[in-house]
Amino acid sequence: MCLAVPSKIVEINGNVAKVDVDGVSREASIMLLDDVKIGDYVIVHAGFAINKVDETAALQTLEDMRAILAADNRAADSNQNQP
Amino acid sequence: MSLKYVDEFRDSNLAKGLIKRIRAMSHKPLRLMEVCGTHTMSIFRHGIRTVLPENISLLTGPGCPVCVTAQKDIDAFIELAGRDDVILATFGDLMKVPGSHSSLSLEKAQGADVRIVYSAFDAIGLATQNPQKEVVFCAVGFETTIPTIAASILACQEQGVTNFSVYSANKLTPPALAALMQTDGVQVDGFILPGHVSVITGTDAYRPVFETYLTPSVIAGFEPVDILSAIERLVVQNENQSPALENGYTRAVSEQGNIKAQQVMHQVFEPCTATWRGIGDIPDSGMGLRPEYHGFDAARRFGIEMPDVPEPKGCACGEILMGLKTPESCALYKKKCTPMTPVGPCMVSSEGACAAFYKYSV
Ligand code: SF4
Repeated sequence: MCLAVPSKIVEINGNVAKVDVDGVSREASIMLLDDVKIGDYVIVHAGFAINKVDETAALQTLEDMRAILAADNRAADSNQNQP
Repeated sequence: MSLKYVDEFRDSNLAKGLIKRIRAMSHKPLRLMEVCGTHTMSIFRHGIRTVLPENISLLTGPGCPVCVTAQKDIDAFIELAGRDDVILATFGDLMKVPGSHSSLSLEKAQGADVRIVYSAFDAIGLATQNPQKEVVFCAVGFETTIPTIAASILACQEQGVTNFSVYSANKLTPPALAALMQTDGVQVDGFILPGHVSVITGTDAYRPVFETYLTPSVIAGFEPVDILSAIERLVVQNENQSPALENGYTRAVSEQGNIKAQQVMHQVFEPCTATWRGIGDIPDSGMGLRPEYHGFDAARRFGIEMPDVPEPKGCACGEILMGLKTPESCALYKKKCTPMTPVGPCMVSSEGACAAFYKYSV
């Protein structure tokens, strides 16, 4: 029921948007969202777009994770280098 | 083909790093509950259970909407399907759920007009195409789905569609978590909170429950890196004894959630007591139609009031939903109860714990 893959808005006609996921297009109502535009990525649930995906936040999450893991690796390396 | 916001969160190097970190840090026995059925499916599909250290066990929670639906509500759907004047519109997952005496698929085989829809909106289409019939939509959903049903009702009102109504078995997540924490024997060391419920409710909706029980909690997305990262955060919180309510799905979830969707939901629905399978009545955990919208209430329109009935004998769905049992500890699992011959809803819904265990164990 819940499509976890974000869909890209390719067309808007009033309250209905045409969205595309992996080359498959379908319609979704945008009644539950303010100011969406073509090119936005949205999460679609039961025929409705329920939110926009925030690109900055997505990049930040990945960056934070990479930073933590890189610190782990450095700590492991320096432990190994100790006599 | 590459998928934006998917591929990055399936990055195997990130996943490996997180697994290593979890393994290095986690010492205490931990019982973590994934509240949402879509998480259950994703955890199995990506083999996450198999990469965790033995001290961490994952429990499935009360987050599969079909699974938590009370037997009396299933019976009400079947009763409605049996009416000659009704077209019953439902999500596909409800079809095979056994009621006390029948199921929607059996009723359909015997001539009842039951249609599977993907959205409440599709049901309006059925209503306009069949003006001589009454279309009833089986509303089983959480915060993610309820606004879509409310929006459909508003659209009906605007278009003057009068042969459409809903039978509401809708439910809210935070009151269920609170009820769970008050239940004897329930032991949860951390919640993986549902991503798409939270898209609507925002992080704030969990704050009262979190502040009462101080159970480590992390909102998670649905890709493997999202889920592993949530587990890693829950391990850290537990090992450091520093419970927190964290949002690991910031690309879709904000503090306040989708306010417009909340407004639409509250315009049409109001909190009411709801009966949950295995848990019982929880005050203010359901969403019933507001008096102004009683005209859209199928229970009122058709005078449907079903008695409370016991759940199928031997079925442990209720205990599984609370993390008290696993499917394998149900005596009927894989014997009398299989996806072809389901005894309880947890074996029917693709989001159900028993169906997921079955699919990935054989
Ligand atoms: S295996 Fe079947 S009978 Fe047992 S709890 Fe699951 S759904 Fe119920």
